[in-house]
Formats: sequence, structure tokens, C-alpha cells
Amino acid sequence: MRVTIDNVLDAVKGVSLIDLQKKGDFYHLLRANFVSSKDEMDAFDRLFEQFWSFDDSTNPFLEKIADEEADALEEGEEPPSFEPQKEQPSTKDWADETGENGLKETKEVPAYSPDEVLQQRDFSHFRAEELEKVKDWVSILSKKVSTYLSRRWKKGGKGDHLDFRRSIRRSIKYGGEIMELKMKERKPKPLRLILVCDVSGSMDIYSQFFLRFMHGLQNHYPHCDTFAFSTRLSHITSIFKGRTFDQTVGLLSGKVLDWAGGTNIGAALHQLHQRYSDLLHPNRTLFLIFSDGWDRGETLLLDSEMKSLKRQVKKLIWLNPLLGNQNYQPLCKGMSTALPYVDHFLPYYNFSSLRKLDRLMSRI
Amino acid sequence: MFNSIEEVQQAMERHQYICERSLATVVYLALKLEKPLLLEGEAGVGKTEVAKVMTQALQRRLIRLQCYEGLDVTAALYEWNYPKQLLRIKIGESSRQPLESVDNIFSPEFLIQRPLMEAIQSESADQHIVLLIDEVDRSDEEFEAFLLEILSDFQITIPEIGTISARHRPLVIITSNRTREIHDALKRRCLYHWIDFPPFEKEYRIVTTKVPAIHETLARQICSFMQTVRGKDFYKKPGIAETLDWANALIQLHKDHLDRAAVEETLGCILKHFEDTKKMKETDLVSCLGALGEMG
Repeated sequence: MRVTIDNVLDAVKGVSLIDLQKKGDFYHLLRANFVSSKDEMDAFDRLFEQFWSFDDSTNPFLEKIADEEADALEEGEEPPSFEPQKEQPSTKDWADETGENGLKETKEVPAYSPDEVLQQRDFSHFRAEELEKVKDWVSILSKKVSTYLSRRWKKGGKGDHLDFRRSIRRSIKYGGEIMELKMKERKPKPLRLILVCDVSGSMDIYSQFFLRFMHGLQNHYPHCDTFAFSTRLSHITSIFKGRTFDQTVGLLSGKVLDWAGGTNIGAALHQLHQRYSDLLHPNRTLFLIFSDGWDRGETLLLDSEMKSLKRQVKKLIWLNPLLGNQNYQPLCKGMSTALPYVDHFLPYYNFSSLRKLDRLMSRI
Repeated sequence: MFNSIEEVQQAMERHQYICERSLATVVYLALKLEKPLLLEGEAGVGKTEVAKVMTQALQRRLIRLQCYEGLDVTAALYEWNYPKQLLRIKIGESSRQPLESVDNIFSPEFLIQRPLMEAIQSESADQHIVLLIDEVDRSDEEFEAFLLEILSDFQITIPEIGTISARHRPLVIITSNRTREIHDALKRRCLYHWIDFPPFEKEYRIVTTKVPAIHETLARQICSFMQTVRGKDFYKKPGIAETLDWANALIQLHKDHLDRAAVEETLGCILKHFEDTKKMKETDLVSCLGALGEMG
């Protein structure tokens, strides 16, 4: 929870406006000032209750106050943590393993010419030191893709609308005679990008690469929203924004609770429809799903969700890591249900498949 | 002006807005602390209505800015009145009084005020304003940046003129349907409140207050039905707005109780998606009506 000094000052001002004997009002005063989204309300409630419970043994606040009184000199004490961090082995190990180099990705940019062998190799077969290299390529590529998308609406010509404001301002130096007409162009509406990543068990190693790609896009392209799902959907845009990738991994494992569980694509899309339908626009939304299509949910639901999704977006792109296997046929229940609605069906299992995606994006 | 939370709550109820003490508290604080109030909640729970009701209760003027994608400064803040400027230039030419008159074509008299500017510019005490910025989540992130200056300092900067500050701070109510997260910087400047779907008792009070002609049994049945519907898995859960529409529709059709036929005829009042109506008719209608039976 982020509480600024301003919030605290306002809360203090508010105290003089309410009747302090009413705990309920005091609670609402603090909540209105300190909470800034629905997600924070539970945490706030918990903390509020905890603070007012005068049972010494369970109240970390009281303990802390007592400690401070007893030994005013003792400093650097960590505030007690109320949320036990759940250990999520698969992502956590991964974060530790890559933690050191994450920040360097923007500075030490390796040449954009991964050697052929690495390009063709399946992500799941990389050795640790090669992994580093590929991760850098992935983030460079995500930057590249975001430039295509941004350029779409920055590209400006002479324009066909008269810019009155600039024309008149310019006229002042000619004594009010409009000598040159300034033109302007309406900015084309930007493409909105929605990336949905399957993080279920069967996808583990591939998801990690795709999440990195998503993270890169999220931080370089403003009109982008990211989701992760296995049995249920999580909106992870705010987790990615403004953080390095390694910082996000820990948070992700906290929020995407069922990380590496089973898959229910239909239910996840259903959730997306219910909550985020405003993000979908038939002319402007580019929708990318990254999943192997091993679905354990209802086929009927998946079918109807894909059908309505198809109607609501401009392009539907499905990336499948299994498509790298020569013998792979999209026969599994989930994939064969979804496939008829997909505009582009692409592999995503090695670096060279990523470049295919890159080329496709440059054309859209 | 109000001097206690109770007064706010009573005033809102006098204007037919039934609310919990928690909402009355944040409205009271928004008035006293002169901070904008950010209301979030599902569609149709009465977020916009808060602004309307407060306008009546405070006897102020409502200025409403409906947000949409692509909303920009010229539509929300101000625009220069170009025809007027051109005319002034022409007059200057013919009456041979050139530069200084041309210079001031960028003065306030050539501004066209749009809602936000109007709210800031209100002149006297009897012209106090309630500013409603509706569905802010529909606007672009760029637009939120414009809002920041206005909402934190109640001032607007116009490059050609300078900074214009508000003489009286309006009560600002911002609503969001939460289709995307609002930027932290904006949230930090606001008081926050989440309006939930109402529990049965509250919804019943709302229905009987807003639709006084309704029969008591029908009102109870409608509310109970709505509570059940919201517990089911639909694309769009109906809000209070839908409940009231439905109640009015049923009265128009001279119904005094709910039965299968009545619900099926008027389903369009509460469910607005084809898939939802289909699902309701095929699977959920029986259980929703069943819940009514239990109620008696």
C-alpha cells in the first residue's frame, strides 16, 4: 500500500472533522485516504483490525511501540510482515538464478544477430549461460516490436486539417495577416495490444520466455495490457509497469496464485470478457494468446468464448510452443476448438520463431 | 454546507439516494477537505447519481464531463475562438490600429470555456459547482495527466495567458467502472470509495423510495430475484439502475407479482447480452424463481 505524506496530513485534518468516538467513521476516514483501489481494501481491513486489537500477543503494532519505548536507540528495525510470503518454487528458483543480471538488459545490448545454432534451439534445451543471452535478445525484440506499433500513430505528414491556433499565432508577426497556413493531422488511434500468457504447468519453461517478452512490451508500449492465466485470469499490467523483470517475478508468484496449476482457457477468456471487455475493439485490438492449448475446461465454453473474442478484436494471434515439433498436430481438444477462430497460428519455442512474430507484427 | 456526516446522509436520503454511512462519510470529507472523490464500482450501482444528488442537496450547479477515448484539451478544458480572433484582426486592419489589438486576441475574452475550465472559473458564491468527471477509465492516459494539475491545485495553465486558479473549489466527483487501472498519481490526489452492489434491505429501500407506486410483494420479489441473479455467472451483472428500470417496466405491464412469464417478457430490462439472456432462459431461470418461492 502506498500512503503519501499528503494522505496522512489529510487524514489528520479529517480527524478534527469527525466524531472520534465512532470507530466506524474513523475507519472510513482512514480508508478513503489510504486506500486507492479495491484490491487494497482487504489488506487495509486486516491492518485496521490488527491495530485495534488490544491483545498484546497478536498485535505487532503494540509490540513495536513497546519496543521503541524500551529502547529508543535501537534502529533499523524492519516493520513486521503481515503477509507470509508463499513460496512458489518454480518461479522463485528462476528469479534467484537470473536475479543478478536482470538490470543490465538495457545497458549491455548484445548485437542483434544471435548465432544460428542458438536461434534454432528449443527454449527448453538451453544451458544456463546461453539462457542469459537469449533473454537479452527477447527483450531487445520486444522493444523492436513496440517501435512498430508506436510508429503507427506517430507517423505524421502535412496533415489535412487547418491548425487555427498555430496559424493565428504565426500571423501576429505579420501584423495579423495570415501568411502561412499551419496544418495538423489527427493522430490515428493507437493499436491496443492484449497479451495473454498461459502459465500452467505444461508451459512452465516457455511461459518464462513469453513473460519476458510481455514485460518488454508492457514497458515500451503504452497501449498494452497483460494477463496471465492457468485456471483463472490475473491482470498483471500494473505488476510489470515500471519494474525490472526480476522484481516482477516475485510479485507475480504472489499474485498469480495458481501458477503452474491446470489450464482452463475458456474460463480465463470468460473472465476477461466480463471484466475487461472495454479493452476489446474490433478495429484496434491485437490479441495474442500464448498457450499450448492443453485445456482441461469445458470445450463448449472455450468455443463460445473464442467465437465472441474473434468478433471483438482486429487480429487474434495464437502462439504455441509445441508447434516447434515437426510431428505436432493441433489435435488436442482445446487447440482444435480454438484454431478455427485464430487469424495467425505461430510457433513460439525458439528465437527464430520469435522473429517470425516480429515480422508479422511489422506488417499489421 | 453540512456540519456532520449525519446531515450529509439525511440530505442524500431527502433527495432519494439511500446510502450507507461509509459513503456519506467520504462525501462529507471530500467537502471538508476539498479533495476530489474517486468512486469506483460496477456499472449501475449509482456512482454518477451521487454527483447529481449532491448538486441538488448543495443547491449547486452540475458541470459534467463525460470521458471517452480521444478526449483532449480542446474538448475538456478550453479552445480559442478562431472566428472571433479573425474578426478582431480584420477590424484592426480596417480601423488602422494594428499590433496591440492583435496581440490581445489571445486574451480570456477569446476563450471558449469547456467543462473543466468552466468549473474552475465559476465567479460568485451562489454559483458553486459540482464537477462530475464521469467514467474516467474511458479516457486516455494522456488525459489523466491534464487532470492532475486541475485536481491537485484547482488551476489551469494556458500557454498564451498563464495560470488561472479557482476562486472556489468545486466538489469534484470522479467515477470509474474500473475497466483499466487509474494512474497512481491521480488516485493519490483523491479520496477513494468503492460502491458495492446493495444488499437486499438496501435495495428494497431504494426500490420503494424511487418507485413509490410499487406493490410491496412485487418490490420484495424483484429485489430477491436480483440478489440471486447477481450471484450467478453472467457477463454483466445488473445494477440498481436495472432494478429500477425493471420495477418500472413491471408496473407499466400491470404486474403485481413475479412469475415465469413476467420475467421472460421483461428479461431485456436486466440482462443486456444475448449470451446472458440465453443462459438465463435455458438454465438459471428456474433456480432464480425457486429462490422467490422459498422467500414465500
